[in-house]
Amino acid sequence: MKILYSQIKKLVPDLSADVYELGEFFTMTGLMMDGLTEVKYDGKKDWLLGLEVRQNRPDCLSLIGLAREVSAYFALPLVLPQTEKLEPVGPDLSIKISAKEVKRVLAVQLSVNAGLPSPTWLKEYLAFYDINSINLPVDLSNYVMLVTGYTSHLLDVDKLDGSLEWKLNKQSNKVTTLDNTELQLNGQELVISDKHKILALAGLVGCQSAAISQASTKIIVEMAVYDRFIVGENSRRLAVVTEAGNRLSRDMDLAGLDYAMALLYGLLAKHAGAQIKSQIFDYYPKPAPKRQIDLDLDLVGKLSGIEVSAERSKEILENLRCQVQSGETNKLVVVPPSDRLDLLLAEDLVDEIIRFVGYDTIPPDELPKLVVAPKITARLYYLKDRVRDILSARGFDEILSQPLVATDLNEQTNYLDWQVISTQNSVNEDFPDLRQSIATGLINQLLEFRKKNLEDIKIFEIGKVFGRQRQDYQEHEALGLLLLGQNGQPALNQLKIDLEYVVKFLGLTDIAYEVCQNSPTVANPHSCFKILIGRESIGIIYKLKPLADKKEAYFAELDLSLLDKLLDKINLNPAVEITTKLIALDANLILSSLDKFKKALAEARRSIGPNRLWAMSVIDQFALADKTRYTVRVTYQELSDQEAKQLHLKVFGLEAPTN
Amino acid sequence: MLIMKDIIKQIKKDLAQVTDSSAVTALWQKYLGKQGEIKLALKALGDLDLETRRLEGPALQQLAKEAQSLFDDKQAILQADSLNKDLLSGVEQLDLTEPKLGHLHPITQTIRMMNQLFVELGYSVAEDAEIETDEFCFQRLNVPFDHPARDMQDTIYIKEPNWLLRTQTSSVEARILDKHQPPIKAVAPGRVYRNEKVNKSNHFIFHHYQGLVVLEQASLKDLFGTFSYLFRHMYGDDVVIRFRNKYYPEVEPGVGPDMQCFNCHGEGCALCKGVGWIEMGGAGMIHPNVLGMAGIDKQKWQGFAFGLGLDRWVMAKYKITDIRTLLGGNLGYKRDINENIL
Repeated sequence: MKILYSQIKKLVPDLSADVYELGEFFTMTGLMMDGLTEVKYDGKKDWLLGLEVRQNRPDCLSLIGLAREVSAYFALPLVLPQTEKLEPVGPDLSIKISAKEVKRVLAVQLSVNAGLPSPTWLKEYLAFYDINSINLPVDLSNYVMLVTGYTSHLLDVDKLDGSLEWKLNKQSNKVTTLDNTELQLNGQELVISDKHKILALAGLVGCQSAAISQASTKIIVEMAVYDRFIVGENSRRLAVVTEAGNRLSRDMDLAGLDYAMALLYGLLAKHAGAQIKSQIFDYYPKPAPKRQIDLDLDLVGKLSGIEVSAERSKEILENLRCQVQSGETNKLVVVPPSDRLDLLLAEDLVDEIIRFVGYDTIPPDELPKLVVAPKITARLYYLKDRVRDILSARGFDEILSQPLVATDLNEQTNYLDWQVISTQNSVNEDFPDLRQSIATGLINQLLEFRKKNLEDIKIFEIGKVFGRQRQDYQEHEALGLLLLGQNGQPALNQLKIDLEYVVKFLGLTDIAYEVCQNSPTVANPHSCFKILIGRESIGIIYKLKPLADKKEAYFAELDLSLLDKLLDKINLNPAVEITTKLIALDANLILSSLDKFKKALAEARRSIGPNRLWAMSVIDQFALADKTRYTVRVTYQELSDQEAKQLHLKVFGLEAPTN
Repeated sequence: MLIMKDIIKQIKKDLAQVTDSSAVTALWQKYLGKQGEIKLALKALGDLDLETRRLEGPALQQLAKEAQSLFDDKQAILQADSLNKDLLSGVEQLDLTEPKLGHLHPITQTIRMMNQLFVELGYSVAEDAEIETDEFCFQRLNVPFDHPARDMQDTIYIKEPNWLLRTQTSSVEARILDKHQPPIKAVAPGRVYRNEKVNKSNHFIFHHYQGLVVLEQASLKDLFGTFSYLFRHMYGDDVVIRFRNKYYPEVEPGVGPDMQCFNCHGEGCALCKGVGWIEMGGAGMIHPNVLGMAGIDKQKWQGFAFGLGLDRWVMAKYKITDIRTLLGGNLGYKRDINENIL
């Protein structure tokens, strides 16, 4: 909202604060000054202040609303612009209200000399708001909107056909608005119409069908307040953004229409010779009830942390035009002014008191007393942080990428059995889908790094991946690792070791792999493996199909949320007391498949049992004609040499050596 | 004895010839073994008369001792030589190549700095879903379905009207209030989404840092004190901050914390749009409706909440001029430079 300093001074004549002090006041009390420009208005030097008016203060989208703030804060009298009383003369207006979204309509017919030119001060004033001068009545209507916050429509009576009606449009129509924009309506809009045509999109913009011109002599002036929701909805759907819509899509004081209409009539009478030619139409089915708020003044100290006297609190509220009655000790009964629709609760009144007392009176440097609250940090948070440290120590750089990605790459990297989740309204059409694999960002980063000639690429990302299973939207934390092979050397196993560092460091063992049957499109299907803990699939590791520059890259992904859950099932205390020497024995297993080997290892592990097994690891594997020889080293604990040997022979089905 | 005296010379001569331990042992056998020349001479003493034994015995004993010492010395030299040979054969030189050190993303580092401070103050760190419901992203935060405040946040929907990508980490606040009973002290860093066109200074995905405190006593003074501590932790003791009144539907009273522009020190510049201050987020006392919707007794409990935008601070700290850099593309790390240790 822009405002001229001179206009504030006009309404608060005793104001001595200069424009900088005024800007500081607005900023500190909730209406941040985001612009200050020296201008010339009505032949004099002036200042144009830009203020950020938040959603709760539609009353401040007007000169009067802002002047009321100034008047209250500086405790100075407010002088409102003079109005002209509306004396009804002539017949009733034929108006029908058929939509429940209409809260109040005030209308009157006037004779007017629309051909007179707008005075210079008026045109200059409107120009500050980027409003073009149209003709005198319209310019005055816009001026009143800026002064009071209430918008009005002016309809040329000679262009009307029958009664006016406020209704929900039930047809698909095309209309041309006052700014010559053609709009396609689809039967949801609140409109003002006559017997045959739509005259205005209520609360948003008038239509050419009833536009007044310099030749107009009879006009109907209407001012209205609607359910803010329908105005906002229509504005969004039709992409019509107007000053009227900006105001009427917020809560407006129904009672304020009378003053605004009287002001407009007075100006039209003064500058365009307007005279009333009808009764006043006033549709006002449900006047807003008076709000009464009980305020315990202890709440001021409780919320602010400082002492504010009852007298000061009361004074502030009264300056803000609240009716204040003292109740029991330290308690007030407060009736806010009707235009302060944001004041509903005791906390709202405390906000008013504290903002005027000043946030700068609250000590900013006192740390709160330390109060212990139960710890609710999830283990997954620590787990992710630990993974970052492990990987950075192993030479991986962290990247972050956007979870909304291109459809193609998303499809090519997904390896899980879930459906894509797409956005419905993203303005970034190139990235419509939520990533299903963390590979998307890492691959994009790899390509960017290659473009920039980076060679030594080891990157990781931790972030959410998303998918839909039936109707359930799912997301989990994923870790992705990607490295670029160096000098044509195979690096899949290097990546495997990196990810095993992560998994084992977190406390999980029993890592296994199996050939991936449905490898993602970006992967070399012959070098793609599922990663398992026990029988649970926790991720994937693969070699990417060669890059355009023939370089080899490798990728692995782990489901960290699942890893976190698996940690619940295991003993995470590896510390034991060693009372006997450890005995390491090797065994060769010649088997035809990785599956069979995994089963044999699992069986061996089970047979030995956790109390006798210190460690089991594969120390060698050698491809034979149609089988593979795996050499397994088992380290036994709590057994004598003889016992360990006997158990080892039994577990691996070996014969005792004969001397 | 003359013969015996010459024998020391002979042993020295013999030992000078040998180069391994077994040859020394063989020589020792020759001179000091059971049938060795010296051993036999010592035995022969017993056949001599007492006077001769008294005259020659000690000298012969001394000679045997001297001989043994020669052999011990020789063995020691040979062992030392052998060890040295072993050490030489296993010699290793220092390799000049260095291990590659990885780096954490600036956003991660910033979050860590903040988390470190808040954990010291007794806060927990919370995380929650990025796909959210209308209820937890808006309604539970006192932003009802038809409230114009939603215009502030152009929302990306995945299934209108109920399923969306969270526009703010306040949704985590709503989840915490729903799941946990006070007292509550938590922070929640996370990614948020807005339906904005991507350009150099705006992104449709960025990062928030949410804070939440619900205690029997908590006030704006506590919020300001916490903020001051945070700002000093992040920017140093010279930082200048101010608190002004600002409306947010989820708090009442609301607060806009500003930091004096680090670029112009309050004079006004392009970075701060001429006002000398940079908005750092939003905060305030939790609205009683928010506590009420979470089933928390608002007569007994009160609290404050805040939300900070992380990306712009990170850009300023790391002198990144394009917000898109933070989410992929142009962010790289110099190899030889480590990160700050917290």
